Amino acid sequence: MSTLANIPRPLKYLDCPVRYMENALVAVAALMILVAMAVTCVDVFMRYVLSMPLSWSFDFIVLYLLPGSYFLAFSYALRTGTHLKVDYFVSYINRRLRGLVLFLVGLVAVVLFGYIAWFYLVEAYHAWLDGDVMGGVIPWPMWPGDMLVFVSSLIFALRLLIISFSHLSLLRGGEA
Amino acid sequence: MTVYLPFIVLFFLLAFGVPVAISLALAGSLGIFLATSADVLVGILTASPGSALTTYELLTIPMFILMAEFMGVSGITSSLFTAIAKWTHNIRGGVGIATVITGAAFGAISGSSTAAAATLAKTSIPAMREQGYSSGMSGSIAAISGTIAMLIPPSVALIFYGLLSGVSIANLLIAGIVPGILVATTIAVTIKVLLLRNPLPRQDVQYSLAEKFQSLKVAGPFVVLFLLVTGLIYTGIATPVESSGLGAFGAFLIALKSGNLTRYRFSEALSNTCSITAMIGLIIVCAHIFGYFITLTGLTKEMVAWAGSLDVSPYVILAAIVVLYLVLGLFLDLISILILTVPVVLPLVTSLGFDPLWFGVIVILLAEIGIVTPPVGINVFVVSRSANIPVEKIFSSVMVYVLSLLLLVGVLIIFPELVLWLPSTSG
Repeated sequence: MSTLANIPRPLKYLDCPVRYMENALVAVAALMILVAMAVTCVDVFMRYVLSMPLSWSFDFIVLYLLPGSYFLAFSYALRTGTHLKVDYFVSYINRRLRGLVLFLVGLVAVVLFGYIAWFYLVEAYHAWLDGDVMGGVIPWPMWPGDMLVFVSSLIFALRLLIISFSHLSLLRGGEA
Repeated sequence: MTVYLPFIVLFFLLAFGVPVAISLALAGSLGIFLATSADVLVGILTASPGSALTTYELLTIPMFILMAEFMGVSGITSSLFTAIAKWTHNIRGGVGIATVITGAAFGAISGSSTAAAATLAKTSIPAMREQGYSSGMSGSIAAISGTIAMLIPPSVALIFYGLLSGVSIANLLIAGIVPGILVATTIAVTIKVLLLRNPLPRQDVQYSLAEKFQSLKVAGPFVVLFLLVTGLIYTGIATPVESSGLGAFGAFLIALKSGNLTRYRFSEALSNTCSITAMIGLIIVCAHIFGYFITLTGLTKEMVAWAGSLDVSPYVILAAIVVLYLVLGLFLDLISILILTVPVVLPLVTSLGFDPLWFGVIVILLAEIGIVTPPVGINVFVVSRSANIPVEKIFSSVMVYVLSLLLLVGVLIIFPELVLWLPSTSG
């Protein structure tokens, strides 16, 4: 997790809106998981009891609910330290060197996820302009799925940026 | 160098404590860039997030995590332990065996071994200590019993292996049942043998038959949930995705009925589900990028060809693979091990004539051993923290169970039918 005392002032101001967005996105992700549960149960009931399966549930889940459930909490999980790390070797590595590596690697990851965010924003825009829809019983629009990846990647990149600068404190002998 | 440099970078990043997913993405990107061009890299990077998480079966993971979270809220595990302990108290080592059975039962309602170990530590260790078990022995029983959850369906580990390997998730979940029961039996037998050498004082507490049957009330919701999930998958009535949705809803109703599902606990269960799902999701996306690198370099084909040219029995190569997994288990968690090895090792194993379904169970069993062995045996740390027992005491006591589970691995290698029989009978 980031220590706000150890990051430059502009990033401290960034932390507040990013935190707000993370909490909002995790609430949406939670809602999507609950909706996925409900849709699956209703589909099972309709399929096996009434022999009238929901024709739209598969596309709806794959296009919106799955990406929402998996992507939207990327940044929240990073903030709360849920993402897996190998901690065993860390204590054997020089703190300053580790701080430098984590800072640099963090910046590269910011560029990577920032680019992914930008790409999906452009994709969503074109899909919206072109009226792209999924071929199926219900022509679900494609752009919301791209927007989910855009928003998640953008907030994740911003959280990575904040955390990367917090690692600089290791260079000064502090805690990250 | 094109092949080795990304692997060196990957292990360098992992050693520095960079999150596993980001390490995979960066090392994979470097590998793709070295093997092809910047244009191909950009194409793969932008396609991966959109394509990696579109498999319908992926819905089973958040559903089963949600189910486990709701069951945790319901508090059924501690009641289940009390009920089982009433039935086993006449047996020598009954409380220890009750811990093992509760571990297996917990596995049937949750796919997380760490959650199982934490819960068992809180409920069973005080009971074991009361009956004269040493702190090391009680801690090691709780830690090792927690691992059974990784094999008994719904196991998130087996689902993850299925997604990586393309093996039927339904068959994998069913295939975990017999080995899971065998693991529980092996641990129980080991406890009995240990107590023969160091007997415990006799207990005076007796329970009437009425008390015993009264305690079974708690088993009702557990049995319903087990039938809802595993029963439907086994009979082929519902798919794993449908069963997972029903399981999550069933667990929600059980938590609601327990009266423990406050607004705070409900939102905590959901935010935990979202965090763990996102952690797995990011790993899947980034492993997709790393997977492209492995495919582009043709590493897997080369390994298979190399293994084919060796003039040794397939079992010698399999033994080397088992040792590799044991070594990786010392330092890495299960998900990381699966991501790093399955795309490369599975084609090799199948080319040797072994069944991928059987291999999945063997890999998970080896990973089970890894989560209780030093230096990063996560279950031992969890139990140590929950029960306030020194880590070194649990590590030294758990080694005997590790040895007995290694014997079981040998048995499952010699008799693969033990794994493959049950899925072959499912609907």
